[in-house]
Amino acid sequence: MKNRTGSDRSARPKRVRTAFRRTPSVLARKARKPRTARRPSREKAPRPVDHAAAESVAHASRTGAGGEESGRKPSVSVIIPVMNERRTVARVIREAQRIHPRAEVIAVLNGSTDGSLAIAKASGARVLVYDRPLGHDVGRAVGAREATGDILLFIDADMVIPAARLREFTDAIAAGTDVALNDYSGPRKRAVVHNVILAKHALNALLGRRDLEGASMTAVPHAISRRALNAIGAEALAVPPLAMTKALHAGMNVRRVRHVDVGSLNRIRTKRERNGSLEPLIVGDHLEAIGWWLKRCGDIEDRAADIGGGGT
Amino acid sequence: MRARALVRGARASVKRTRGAYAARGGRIGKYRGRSTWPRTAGKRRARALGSIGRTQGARRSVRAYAGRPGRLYAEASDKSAVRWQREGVMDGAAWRSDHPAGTEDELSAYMQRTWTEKVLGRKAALGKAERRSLLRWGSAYAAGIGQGSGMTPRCVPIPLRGTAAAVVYAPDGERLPAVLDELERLPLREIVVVLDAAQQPALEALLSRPRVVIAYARNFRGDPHKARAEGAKLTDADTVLFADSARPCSSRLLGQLLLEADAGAEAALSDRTVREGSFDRRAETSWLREFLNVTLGRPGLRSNAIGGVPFALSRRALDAIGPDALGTPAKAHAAVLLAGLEVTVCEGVPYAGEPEAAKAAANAHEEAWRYCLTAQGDRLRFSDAKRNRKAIEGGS
Repeated sequence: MKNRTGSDRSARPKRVRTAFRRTPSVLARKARKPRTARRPSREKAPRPVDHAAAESVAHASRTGAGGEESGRKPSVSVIIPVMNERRTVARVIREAQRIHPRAEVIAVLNGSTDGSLAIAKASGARVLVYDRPLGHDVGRAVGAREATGDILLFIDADMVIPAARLREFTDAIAAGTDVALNDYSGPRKRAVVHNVILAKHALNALLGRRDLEGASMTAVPHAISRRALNAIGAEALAVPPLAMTKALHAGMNVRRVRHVDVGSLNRIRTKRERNGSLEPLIVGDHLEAIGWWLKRCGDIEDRAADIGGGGT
Repeated sequence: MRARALVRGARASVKRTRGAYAARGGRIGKYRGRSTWPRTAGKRRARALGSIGRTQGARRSVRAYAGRPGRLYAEASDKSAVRWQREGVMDGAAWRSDHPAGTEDELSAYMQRTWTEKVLGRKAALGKAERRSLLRWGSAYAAGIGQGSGMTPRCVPIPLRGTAAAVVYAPDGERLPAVLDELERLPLREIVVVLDAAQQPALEALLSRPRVVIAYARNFRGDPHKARAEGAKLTDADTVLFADSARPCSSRLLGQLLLEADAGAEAALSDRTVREGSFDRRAETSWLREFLNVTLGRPGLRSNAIGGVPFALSRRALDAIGPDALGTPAKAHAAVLLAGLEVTVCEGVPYAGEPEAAKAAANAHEEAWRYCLTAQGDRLRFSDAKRNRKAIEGGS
């Protein structure tokens, strides 16, 4: 019997070059200005940040949008949980700010000890700080609770995705979709797939949405509308399969929008895989979602028959 | 002569290939650069394990025996089979001299009895590999019995400790005779054939078979699982084999399921994964079955589950879940796994049932998870100790 693969990443991960590091074209190189002039953001003085708020949860200095737009309600809230991601967090925040002129970027720092906090503050994001790690996905729920935008976009701080790609998710919400998912199902053209991929497919099939394949709110990037947030509640976002199940149960318009190969963008975390993979957590999340669904479909206590006594 | 030349040519080419491989530095370690490989490892291992099967060298190719008519087929496969065949010839001749007017049925009963005594008497417990070889050796023994007695026993000798019965759901009578022919070659005490109440098959043909029990199931609305559950109530055999009449399955494959269930597995399943292909092409019912196995801590079962005919259940499993539970096979499967009963997959036995309806399978799996989550909590054994859920309590 063939063994299960240990990871859901493909055998040869592709490295996608980000817009930030893309080599300029020949014409651009000819007309290149001095380096200092080309990248003003590096040299610019850091934007003012309320340092006192770093000790509390409810720090609310919004600096993501500047100029005349700053007084209006933000259109897009970008929520970025951050835990020790100093290598990428500045670039991720910069791409998030480029999505919309009135983008509100919320960085949820939790358990960061590597200087990510200073970088996030300097990047101009609204920063929520927790001393200890919140755990997987909880940062998204906290950020969503504090968000004020009509569209909420969720991304991770460890992968830099160009703003143009992220904009497709927010545009889909603006066009009427309630939950815009990453069209990523993982490596599945094989007999045995990773249990996380299996769980996503099985839940979608059970909910009668085989067309979603392996797309899930477990994977970033994804965006939701304010209407969807009100329907499912911010706290449900801490368990993404549960949030998706609640959205489908509430009749929200859920669809796959664009493929972003997060399998290859994701940093390989050898230590985490060694100490305890996320697989049991995610399988449990899907079970929690199934349990919630079954309770809504019929009273779990009443319909469970005693199997030993016969009859179904 | 031509066959011999072919054989020689084939051997020479094998040797050349090995030599070339060794020259390229193949076979790391102590075999690097060697033109010949040691062949005694399997023999030593078999001796150490006290195997009752083949202990000689590597199996020879079929081509090596292609041009030698008159040789027994068993000789081409292994020497244990040859030994069993010779023993069968002696037993068959002895039976013939004792029963000059004996019938084929009596010969079959005698063969089944002696084969069981010989196999189970020599070794208390057989390994899985040995159980698989038993069918081949049994065929060789049956061939020997046929040679010695001058008659042809129809049954496949299978050494069972307890009694066995089969349950067959027959929505139409077209393939039923072929299915029954195969089942009658097994050492089954009875074969329960479940028919639709509105069905009028050729009853005379069925009644001419002495071991067949006919049952008319009502209120199962054409659901094969419910029909089989009704049939299972009519037998109290130690092992119950469930086989469908949609596709006849050979008696040797069915015998493998019986052997596994008799040897200690509470459920012996056929293998659906053989024909399923890659994950993205599989039906959603297959995803659900596989995820149910993962959530119940048995990912190795893949997408195999109780309900996929053919399969065999022990009396212990049937008593634990109740025959009625088989009407919702996913729930029955979950109950067997939750009860900690041993479930095994016979990899060589393919699934031989009809494709499942997606909606019915989804409903059955909902029932299964409802049962599990009620019994063992919201996340079963996949607890969430990493999240700080207090940070978001009180919600928006």
